[in-house]
Amino acid sequence: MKKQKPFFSSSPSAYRRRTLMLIPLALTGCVTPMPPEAFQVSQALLDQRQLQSRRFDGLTEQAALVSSANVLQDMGFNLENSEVSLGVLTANKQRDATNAGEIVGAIFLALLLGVAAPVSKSQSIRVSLVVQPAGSESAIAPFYAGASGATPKETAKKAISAMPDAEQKAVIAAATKPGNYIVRVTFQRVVTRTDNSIYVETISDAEIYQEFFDKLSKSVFIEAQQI
Amino acid sequence: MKTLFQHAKKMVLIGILPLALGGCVATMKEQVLDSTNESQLQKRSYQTRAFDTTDKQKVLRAVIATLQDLGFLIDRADSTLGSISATKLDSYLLKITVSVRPRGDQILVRANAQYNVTPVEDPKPYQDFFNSLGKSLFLQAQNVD
Repeated sequence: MKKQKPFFSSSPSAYRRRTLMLIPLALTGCVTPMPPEAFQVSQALLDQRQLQSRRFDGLTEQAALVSSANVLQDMGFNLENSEVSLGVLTANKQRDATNAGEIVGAIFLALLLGVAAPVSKSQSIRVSLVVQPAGSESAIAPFYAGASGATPKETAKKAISAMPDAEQKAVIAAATKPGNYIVRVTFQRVVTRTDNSIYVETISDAEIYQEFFDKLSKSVFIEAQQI
Repeated sequence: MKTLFQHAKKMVLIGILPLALGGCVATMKEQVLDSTNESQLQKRSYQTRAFDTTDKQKVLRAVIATLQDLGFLIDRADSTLGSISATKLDSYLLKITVSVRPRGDQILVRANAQYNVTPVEDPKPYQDFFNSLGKSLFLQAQNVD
């Protein structure tokens, strides 16, 4: 193995290298700037939306959320946070991240170069799931209007109770009528390697999302049939 | 044997080092309070926009959808408080909290973001965010004074 040179190396070329290395650092401080496209919608992000979303017809928003929570639990996630009135669920789990392919690669690297490459050790997987009314088909949505300060349920109740009987009945029927909803799910993971370095990513594997929605479709069906 | 020249070289390096670190060294008070050169008012003005609607729930839902479209995972949402927090992981860590509150016949939306361990203090990313939000609300994002 090559011996590491001390920082204040006496060789002129090394000195020049070190000094040059420090200059950009001196000019920019110690932070890397944020990529300018971080808050811009790109084609890749639109594709991601496609991958992460499914439309479910003929169910209530609450049923969609309950089915989703059950599927996440089936997958071993622990519920972290929820806000039913906004259709939001957040869950997480910690899992082993050892990966056979990665270890084989590391062994080859070790044999060839004599360096031990760090490999994935453990991971924290997080998921957020959001149910949104598809288009303008939300039955309750109009009654959220003017919900300044008050919670939507209270506002809706107040608005409904102020109506004449016949209208009240119609509104209640509309609110409990199944509608069409978009379920959007996002998986992210933080992986810790054997040298305790970490890397972070949003999971973009199409198969993972496909399988999740297959499970959700089944769960929605089971829920509807009360099996 | 070390010559005088070599010593001088070392001095130059040592001289550059604090300059190199200067960009990221702040006192703990500055780190906790984020009391940088920007005034609170400046920060609020580029982090806030007003929308011509009184429908808080609709705005909250639009904020969630916009963040998801930008690649964020929704960490938590609170409709009473009107706040949404989200994280984007793309080999970097980007965190954002958006708060929604009514003011008169408008809704004020305020966002503050953090890139890895630094606050986002460039108005442009906020402008990008509010433009996307405006599109999903079919409303124009208005500056607030």
